[in-house]
Amino acid sequence: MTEKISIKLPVDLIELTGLSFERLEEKSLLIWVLELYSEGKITLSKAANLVQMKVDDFLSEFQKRHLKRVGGPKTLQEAQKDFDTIQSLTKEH
Amino acid sequence: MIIFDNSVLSAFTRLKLLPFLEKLLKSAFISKEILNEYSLQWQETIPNWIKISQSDETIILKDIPLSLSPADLSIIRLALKYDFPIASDDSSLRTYAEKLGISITGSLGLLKSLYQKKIIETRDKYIAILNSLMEDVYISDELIKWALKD
Repeated sequence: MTEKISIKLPVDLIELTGLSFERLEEKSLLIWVLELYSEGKITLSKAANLVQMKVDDFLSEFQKRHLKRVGGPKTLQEAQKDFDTIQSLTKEH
Repeated sequence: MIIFDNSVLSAFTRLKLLPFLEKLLKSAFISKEILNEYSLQWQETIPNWIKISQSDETIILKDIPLSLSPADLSIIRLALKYDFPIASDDSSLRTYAEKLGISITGSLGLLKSLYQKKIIETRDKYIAILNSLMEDVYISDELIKWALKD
């Protein structure tokens, strides 16, 4: 079980969002995790684990916000290496 | 043989290109841990050319980044055991796998291969798929030019 920390949020959020304390806590966590995933700082699997969601449910949350994430090769060399991996894997097909 | 992580498996499912990948790769692996991270409804959509394998917990991994999950580590262990490459778009998984000497590829490399082998038949369709991939992944102009280069 992951160790937990407490954070303080303005009490106005309860009225503005109409969420209970528990739901506000869940939603705050989800927003943080979506940001970490979007920045490429955690994997998809880690993100889903942190919010205790199934991967497909987490992706629905990500996609419905029209977010984009950092991922895949960063440079041309890395992209070419990715491509070469597939070429060597499929050359006997 | 190749091992998919959640990111590539989810991307190709969303793009509805898993049948194309079957033509390219013939077969692939995911770990039991990766499968279990999806809903039962989603699990039922996994085609049978993608095999489910149990990872070997006796393989000890060191300096594991906090950014990875137990399921990520399960495919790292599979790759080390069978000497297979991993297909992943997750930066921290790619970096850690490379550090361990595992070959890596990702969605962009797979898509370019599908196009070059004419499994994606037309350039227009290929461009449409790249655009769809870019709806949730940042791809630089430089990489798009590379992807479109014959």
